[in-house]
Amino acid sequence: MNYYLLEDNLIQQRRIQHIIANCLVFDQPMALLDALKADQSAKVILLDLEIRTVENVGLNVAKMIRQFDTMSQIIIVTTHSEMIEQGLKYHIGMIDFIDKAQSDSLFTKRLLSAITAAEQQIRMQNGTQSELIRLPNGQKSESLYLNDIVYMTSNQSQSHQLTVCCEQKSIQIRTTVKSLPDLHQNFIQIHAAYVVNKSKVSAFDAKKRTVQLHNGVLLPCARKYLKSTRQLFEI
Amino acid sequence: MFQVLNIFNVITWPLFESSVMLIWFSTLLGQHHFSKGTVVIASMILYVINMIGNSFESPLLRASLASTLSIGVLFYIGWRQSIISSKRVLLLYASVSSLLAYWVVNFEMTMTSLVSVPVFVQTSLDFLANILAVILALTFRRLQYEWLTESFLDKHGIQLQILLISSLFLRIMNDLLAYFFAVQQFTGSIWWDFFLLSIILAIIFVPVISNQQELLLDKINQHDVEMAASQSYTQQLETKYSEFRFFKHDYKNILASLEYGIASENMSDIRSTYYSVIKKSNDTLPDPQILNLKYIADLNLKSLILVKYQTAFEKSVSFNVEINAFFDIVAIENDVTFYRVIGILLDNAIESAEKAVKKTVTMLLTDCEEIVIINSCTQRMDLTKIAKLGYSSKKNHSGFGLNFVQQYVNQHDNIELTTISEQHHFIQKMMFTVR
Repeated sequence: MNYYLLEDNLIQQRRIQHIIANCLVFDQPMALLDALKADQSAKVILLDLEIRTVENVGLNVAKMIRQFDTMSQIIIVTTHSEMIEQGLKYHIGMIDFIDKAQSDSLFTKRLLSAITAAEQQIRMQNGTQSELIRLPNGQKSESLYLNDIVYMTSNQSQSHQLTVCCEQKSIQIRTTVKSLPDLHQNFIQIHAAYVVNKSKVSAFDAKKRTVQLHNGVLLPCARKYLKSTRQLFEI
Repeated sequence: MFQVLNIFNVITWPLFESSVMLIWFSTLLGQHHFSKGTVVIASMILYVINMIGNSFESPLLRASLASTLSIGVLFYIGWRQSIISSKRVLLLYASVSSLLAYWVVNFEMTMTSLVSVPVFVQTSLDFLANILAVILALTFRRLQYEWLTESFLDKHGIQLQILLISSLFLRIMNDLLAYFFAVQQFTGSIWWDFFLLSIILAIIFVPVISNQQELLLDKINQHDVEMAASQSYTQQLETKYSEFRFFKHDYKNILASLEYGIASENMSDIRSTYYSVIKKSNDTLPDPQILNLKYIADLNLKSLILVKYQTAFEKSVSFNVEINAFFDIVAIENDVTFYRVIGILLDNAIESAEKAVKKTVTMLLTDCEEIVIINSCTQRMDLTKIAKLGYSSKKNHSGFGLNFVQQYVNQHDNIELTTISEQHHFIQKMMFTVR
């Protein structure tokens, strides 16, 4: 695993290097970005928010990293405790937020646990960068990882509302079920109200006309789609 | 000449009646613009109904069939277009517009029957009365007044019931009188006509006026709440400020003792002083709890956030607003409904966060194009039904809020709402298309 650090204060650089020995240290955002682009594998990136007294450089760097790299884990190490976790988590999907202004033992403990969590996360992703898929959402669109999507279903109350069920979350967007199968070949319509991600189907029961997903959810399969579904899942 | 006028009258009469009815109906529905196709089809149906109704031999059928059927047609149109959801309100508006449509002509007929005039004059007066009815209806439409009292009527069921019953009663009375008029047992009375008009006007204006009064009271209450919220906010700022002053005072002392420690090269002294300053500064220094509202241009939005901040504070939910650039969306400025939408979303967020272990609500406002409300929650929710009318995760709640939000978003092309539900977070993301 490769570790990268963006930090301009020499003392802090040494402090972190003391905890993580094989950490590559940068004090220029551009140099860091170039190095990150060169390294294709999943990494753990530690960022300071304030570089050379310019506020929020770290945040912008994080956003730039996210444009080309979605699997690396970002940890923010900063004195700026007023930058609140939630926003950062939302914007850049960072994993942890560590305040520099705490006693050394605490700091070490927090940093190590954050790094362990980041490594775990990377291992869970298997180091493969998943395909991003853009789902239309009214006039805007919503980007999701293809292998995160389990199935999609229309809402009971409104036909143009759609719920996308992912592994860890569900998202409601404004589009029609009908338009989904055209977005990707893995999206299979099994019912007027259901579209499943092909790779998430674990079983198909032609008698009961149900499709079972790998997380245990049972979905009905309409007669209209029975034939096409059978061809896909039953050999 | 008389023959021509008579035939002309027979043909145009139902046309006038039907168009007047439609105009009144759309005015009462809050200046609703029907599509051209609807208008054409509806007026054709009404025309045929009135035509058939007028050609019946039996006076009873002639009097009652057309009016009853036209109320039915208006009701059906309103229901199909789902302009307003409450069927009783629709029925009320349909019967009131039919009453209004017939009133002018009825009045004119009463007058002419009381003062016996030649047939020729009466026919031309009929025609004039029809034109007058159209003009009256159009004038009221011109007023551009916000009639819509649906939400008010929805809330006050009994009042609605009374209005509905009285309007239907009037309709029946009118039909009865028309029947007597046709069989010439009744010669018409001006008093009855004026009584009818005043009742109709009362049916229309009583809810409008009491609605306005309620809105006014609401506004005053809201003002009070806002005042209280900003006052307690100022108080909190003041306490923070005095804490800072204390800290500043302490800080100088600590620096002095540090200097002493350094001068005497007593490392343990330096260490203990240093850690005490770190601990203290962590306790007092920058507190993200202080809202960063100076970037919000819209005063109403600002005070709304303040009020909700106070609510959260009382429920010991930590409420953060993150905003780092000027936030100003022209499209939503002074749109009362928009504030209500944001209010509903924040209320939901606070209530849901209250039950979670880590009680936090975060509101992000970014680059004039996104408002994101994130709250902690206990479990992942079933998004397929949250916006359904009547669905609520809370006890004793009507489940009206999110449905209202959804309707608002559907009505506005430049706003998109995305809901994300995770294990521990619930996110409402509102995106704006800036033009």
